[in-house]
Amino acid sequence: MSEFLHMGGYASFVWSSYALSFILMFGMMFLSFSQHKKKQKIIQGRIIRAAQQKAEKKREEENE
Amino acid sequence: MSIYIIDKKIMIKATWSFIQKFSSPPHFYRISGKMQPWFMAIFIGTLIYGLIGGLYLAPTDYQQGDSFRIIYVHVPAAWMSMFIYMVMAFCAAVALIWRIKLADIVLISSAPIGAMFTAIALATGSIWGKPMWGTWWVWDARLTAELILLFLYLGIFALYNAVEDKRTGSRFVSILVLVGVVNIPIIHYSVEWWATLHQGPTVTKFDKPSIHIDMLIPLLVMAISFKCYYITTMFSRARTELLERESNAKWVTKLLVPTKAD
Repeated sequence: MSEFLHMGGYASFVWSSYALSFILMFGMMFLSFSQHKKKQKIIQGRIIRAAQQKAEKKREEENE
Repeated sequence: MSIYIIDKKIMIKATWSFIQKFSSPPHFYRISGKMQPWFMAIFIGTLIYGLIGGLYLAPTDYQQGDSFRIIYVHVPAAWMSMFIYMVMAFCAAVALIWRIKLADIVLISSAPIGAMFTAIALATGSIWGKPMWGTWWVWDARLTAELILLFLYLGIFALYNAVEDKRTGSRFVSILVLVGVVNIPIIHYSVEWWATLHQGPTVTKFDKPSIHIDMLIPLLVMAISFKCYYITTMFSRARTELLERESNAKWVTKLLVPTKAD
């Protein structure tokens, strides 16, 4: 196992390459996922608010 | 003869309507959402297989020792940097010729992922270069062309965000992408056209790949893995972009707030 981690003396080069690549890749992936979720919530809120405003306007018109 | 002509017309019409249907935002949104978990699963599966194969099972290189194992992230990332650019160029052409909205969206959703893979290729190449060439960086053809690719990606993203109107921005971006295509063959052939420190192609050539099969298989598996990663992540970004651009469309309301659909 330690021989495997040692990478024939190139441990720092090999493992830093892999760490850097996967931090970037998974970071980008989770950022994209969370942006999608966030956007869904924002648009959902926007639609509900618009519908509420519409209903309110209708009520006001009926009252007049 | 006339039947043949009618058939041909129907065929063209059917193909066109298929393209339009598939590229329609609600359809793409639904299908991509369904396909995404499968691509994610293939990505993780091939990644684990590729990493075990590359880091553990593949024999040590007789010249470079274990440092050659950087190849399993460096080369797939470099391939992806060019592959994604070609996808974007295809989308740019489609967007300019047929004005298919989805093409713009796939294009701009791909740009950050392409930039990331280019950065990974450059960084891991640099880390590999230090023990093998004795230097982190040289201004040779392959490295410089890849650096230009990174700037192209960043430029595309900056241009898109600089223009207020997304549709106008997309047209500018498409033209920039098509102009930048010239860089791709330069990257690919740079190691043959110019004297360079970078080694020549070992896999992507017409001759037999000059790499041992036990080393080659994990490399190809990692390439598949990275492609599935790209599709998974791009789908997510494209869906975000679709929601933003189509936020007033009926299908978005129906999807997100089913009770307020009318």
